[in-house]
Amino acid sequence: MIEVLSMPFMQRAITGGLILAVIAGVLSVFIVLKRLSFIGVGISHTAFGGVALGVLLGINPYVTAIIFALLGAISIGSISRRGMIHEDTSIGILFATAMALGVIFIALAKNYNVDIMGYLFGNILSLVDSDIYLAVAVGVLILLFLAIFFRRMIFAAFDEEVAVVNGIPVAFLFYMFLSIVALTIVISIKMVGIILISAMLVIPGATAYMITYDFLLLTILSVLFAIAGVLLGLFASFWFNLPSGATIVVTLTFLFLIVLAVNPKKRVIL
Amino acid sequence: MKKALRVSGLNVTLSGRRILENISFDVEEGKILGIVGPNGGGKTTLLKAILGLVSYEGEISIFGFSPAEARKRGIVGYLPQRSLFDPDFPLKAKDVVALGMVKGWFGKLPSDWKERVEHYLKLVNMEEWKDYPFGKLSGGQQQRVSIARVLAGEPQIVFLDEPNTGVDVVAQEDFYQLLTKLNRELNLTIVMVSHDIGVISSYIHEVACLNRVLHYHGAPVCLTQPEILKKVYGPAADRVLVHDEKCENCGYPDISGGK
Ligand SMILES: Nc1ncnc2c1ncn2[C@@H]1O[C@H](COP(=O)(O)OP(=O)(O)O)[C@@H](O)[C@H]1O
Ligand SMILES: [Mg+2]
Repeated sequence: MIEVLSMPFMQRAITGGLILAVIAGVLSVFIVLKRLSFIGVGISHTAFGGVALGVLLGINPYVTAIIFALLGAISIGSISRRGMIHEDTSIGILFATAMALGVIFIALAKNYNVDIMGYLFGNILSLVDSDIYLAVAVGVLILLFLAIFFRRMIFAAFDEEVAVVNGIPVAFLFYMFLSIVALTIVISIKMVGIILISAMLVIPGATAYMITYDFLLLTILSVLFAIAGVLLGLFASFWFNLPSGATIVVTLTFLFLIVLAVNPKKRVIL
Repeated sequence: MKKALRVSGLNVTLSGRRILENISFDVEEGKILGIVGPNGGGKTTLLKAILGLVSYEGEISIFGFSPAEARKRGIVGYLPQRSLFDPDFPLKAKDVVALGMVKGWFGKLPSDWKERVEHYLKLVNMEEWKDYPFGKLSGGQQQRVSIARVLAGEPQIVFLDEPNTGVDVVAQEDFYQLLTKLNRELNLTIVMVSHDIGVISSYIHEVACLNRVLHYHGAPVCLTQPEILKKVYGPAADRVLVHDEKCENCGYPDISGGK
């Protein structure tokens, strides 16, 4: 075990995984409170169109992925705030279209060397130093933003109208939040992949939500569940030679099911 | 006397329907205004327009400021008409009260926020419930905690939309006494939508009778005048007035069950 931990690729995997776990742990609290999990799915799948466009144009797929994810976040956000079309309808259309475009771009690129599976499902053991630097930089910015606006975001999630009357910049916070989700999705592409990241943005918060009525404790627990899921999943994937992203998600789900079975809030089920 | 609120020529159209038509009235600082009218009469919409939460035509000024400016300055408090909260939402009663002090883009809670939370919870008789999950309180209890939240923000003017929904009769009486006290001691201006128009008449300074247009604005005497009530409520006016012991010879039968 010690030897494994001393290997550089493992150290990078652990560092990257921990950064992602902390960010996803905090974000998932708001995603669960505001019921935005489908928005997370929508944004991440939109990013796939961006990756594919980057491959087609021969430019860094991360750049195009960020652009697609941010555009997806802002359009989903404005549709949802205006309430013209039902949110689930618009997301359903948007993300399927972005995926379809992605498939077409990949087919046009005819570049069979591109590891599409890597983008879709990630491989946290393949991180390089520059991935870590990017994750640290983005992570620090995101956590700084969340630290400044945490209470205001809770307020907006709880009672939006009163938050507006108290002068809280609710619309700004909403779009910033979606943009942060988009950035998180992009830095997580190599780690857990486009398909699986939405699970990390929901499960830790949903697990902690079943335990406490205290929002600070909820956030701490959510981060701890995310960290536990990432570390346990990472080691399990290494020992049993399983795909890392999928193993992390299944581990998170396993923790979720344990808490669900224990039912700490003694909720009446059925 | 300073004008706390000035509404002039206000029109509100929602989804192509005119909900409020040419509403004009003023409220002086330190007054309590009650807004009455039938369901769907536009009372909630009026409050939302005044707060700038729905788009409107006309002029609104709150202590001389536009709705957006007044919100930015943190001088308004708002209690929306009661809505259902997620019973699992991770906020305790004391956290909800503390949110009332969270204002604007930045800025911390005031240094005495804990004392303020205790103080306002005590005012609404909810201090024993401070560590209880807000979503698990009864509707009336949630309403009282929400009122404490509005007060904790220490606004200059408050807008309360049916603050007594779900609150029992004893607590209602206490609540009106509390409003009167805050109004007198802090010179707090209060605009309140209410259904129990017989009861509020003895606590408010002015009343506005609203049903798309403003039928009456003035002393609460309108609550005892059949012709005004008929205009606002239509033929059902007979059933509107909750008979109050302070209201005699109003021309309506006692329908409160002989209180
Ligand atoms: N967003 C909206 N779009 C269209 N009509 C609305 C909207 N909100 C309220 N209304 C309508 O405006 C009218 C007044 O509603 P409201 O202000 O809630 O009345 P009250 O509070 O007096 O019961 C109602 O007929 C209601 O259906
Ligand atoms: Mg109403």
